[in-house]
Amino acid sequence: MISETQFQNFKTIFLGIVLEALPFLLLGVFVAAILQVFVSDEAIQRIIPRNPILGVIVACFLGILFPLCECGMIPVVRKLLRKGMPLYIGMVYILSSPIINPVVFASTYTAFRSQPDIYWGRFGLAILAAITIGLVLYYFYKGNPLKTRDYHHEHAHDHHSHDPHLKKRRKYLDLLSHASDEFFDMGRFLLLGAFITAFIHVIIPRELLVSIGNSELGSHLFMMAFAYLLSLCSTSDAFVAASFLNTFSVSSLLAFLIYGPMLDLKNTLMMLSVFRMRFVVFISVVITAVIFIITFAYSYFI
Amino acid sequence: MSNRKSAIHYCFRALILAGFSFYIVHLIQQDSLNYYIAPRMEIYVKLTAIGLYVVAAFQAIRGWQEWHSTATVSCDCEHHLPKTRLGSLITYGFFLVPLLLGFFTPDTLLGSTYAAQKGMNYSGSNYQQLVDTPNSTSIPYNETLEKPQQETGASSDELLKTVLEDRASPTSLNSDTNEQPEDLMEASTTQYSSDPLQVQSDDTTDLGASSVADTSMSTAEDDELMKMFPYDIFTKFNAEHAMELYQLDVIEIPESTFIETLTSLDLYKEKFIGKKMKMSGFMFREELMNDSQFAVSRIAMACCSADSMPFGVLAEYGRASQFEDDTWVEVVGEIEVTDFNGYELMMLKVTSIETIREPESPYVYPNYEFGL
Repeated sequence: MISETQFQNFKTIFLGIVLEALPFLLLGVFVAAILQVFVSDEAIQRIIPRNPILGVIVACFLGILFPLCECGMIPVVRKLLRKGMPLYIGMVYILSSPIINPVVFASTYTAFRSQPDIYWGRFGLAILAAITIGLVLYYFYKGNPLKTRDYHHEHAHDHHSHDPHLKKRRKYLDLLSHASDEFFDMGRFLLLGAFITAFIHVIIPRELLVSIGNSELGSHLFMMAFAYLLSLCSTSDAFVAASFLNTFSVSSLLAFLIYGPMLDLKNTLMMLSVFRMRFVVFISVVITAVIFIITFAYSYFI
Repeated sequence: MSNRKSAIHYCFRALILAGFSFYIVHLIQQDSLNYYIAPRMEIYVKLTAIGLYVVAAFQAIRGWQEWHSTATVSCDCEHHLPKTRLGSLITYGFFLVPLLLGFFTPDTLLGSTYAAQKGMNYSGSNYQQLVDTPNSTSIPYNETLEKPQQETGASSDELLKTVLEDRASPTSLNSDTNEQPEDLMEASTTQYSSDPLQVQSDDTTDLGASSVADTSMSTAEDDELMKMFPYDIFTKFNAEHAMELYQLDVIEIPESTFIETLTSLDLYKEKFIGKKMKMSGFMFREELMNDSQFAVSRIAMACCSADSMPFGVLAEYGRASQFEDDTWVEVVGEIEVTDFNGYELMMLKVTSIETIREPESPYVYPNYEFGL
């Protein structure tokens, strides 16, 4: 059982996560709605290069132009996928944008001022990881990743949006109300994620971490698992990672800093609200494997 | 699903979303947003209150339309409305949990229990140094230093000079306000040697004639000061900061640069031995401490409560045990360096301690302007 203070801390953290994430979720659904109305399918297809390698490289840096918190990205990417953006490009965007953007660079730099191998390492390895994962998706994933019910719904909707009889005002109203529905649907997963995350924050004692931190292999896996469970925002995880400078190696900290923004409990749940289970499992395995291999190799060669 | 049932669902949703909107407004009015969110994020949360209200309104309109069966949606899909009573109960009940917790339980501060959970940081944001490592003046990043890049090609001396000029301010330097930055500057390339960890001997400095009347700091003293705080490009700001702090009679730790000050002090802790320091925070104890030891600490928040980390200074006071954990205190004492749990840490030998009221802003935040 947990003590009263622990419960209070749980509540403080739970509400903190919810309050911090809500703005970005809201922003995400409204950006998705704007995309629906103002950006045509052709425009999306024109921006992204056909060649997969070029495509993933461009997608990596889209986050600089269109940064969104992890929570806001999922509805936007769903909309982009609907509009014809290829899956591998959309996923590279989801994975890289929480790390490859100026805000996260600034906060990583602030937390690790005297360790350029960490703040440059985070960026370099994140790009490498995102490109690799994107290419794996390109070559190996077949089928529709999105939940089918959604697909039919959206498809029907798109048809109607070309219907000249439908009044423009009604269309906008509809879109905004759809965005609201989307917000509510995704909000459920956000709350669930926040709830579980807050619980984990309060329960895991530090001694447990320290004792695991020592083995080479174990430390990477451990930091990744920790990042997964803590589900921190990429703008503030650097400060938490900095507190582990004594206990963990640079490459396992890099694993924490790259894995967390790409895959964690909170955004797994949010992905499940939009993607099929089969896809979520696939991508989770790929992300985990790629990041583990890259950071482990980093510790060997650098 | 009948339109009436859908309508009820939409109305529930509208109420819940409006509830969140009002909760945020409630926090703003009570001035308790800072229990959950860092100040730099507050604006987004405030805007969200408006956004949520708008979303709630759309859901209410939708509900109205459904009730009167005038909804002209272009598709008849159901947007995942829960089908069963139980499903509805779970979904909406779940949304109610944070609302109920938020409205009906008091806002609490993260304190000792949380700090014990996360582990106290005693060295600011530095790597905690183990005892028995060679005395490296605590510079964490050991790198062979090359001359820093400069656009104008000016010498490293001039770079240092401009840097110090920017930092020098009458309030922080404990000397005459006529102090000229040039006086502080005279140490030459000794600072930018290839091995920043060794304190160079004073042999090559050409002090030059200072055109300004000498103030309380002679050039030889300045030279000494600079040599006391050697640095590399990564710790330059901390070195300057430490130099400023060193010249104060009593070092105070301001809330605005709490973490940064602890970091700078820890980096050069041996140099501060014997200096007086004053700080405030809540009392934190952990098992390894003896009866007279505690930490004066603050919880630092970067973004939201979930990423909060505790920072503190180890302190020693004979009658510490009469104060309970989490008591807010202001302490004055002398700086020492000690071995705690195998780490070399700065410690405060407390000479005076008094309880204070919880500060207006109990959490501290990283200072993004430090060093700019």
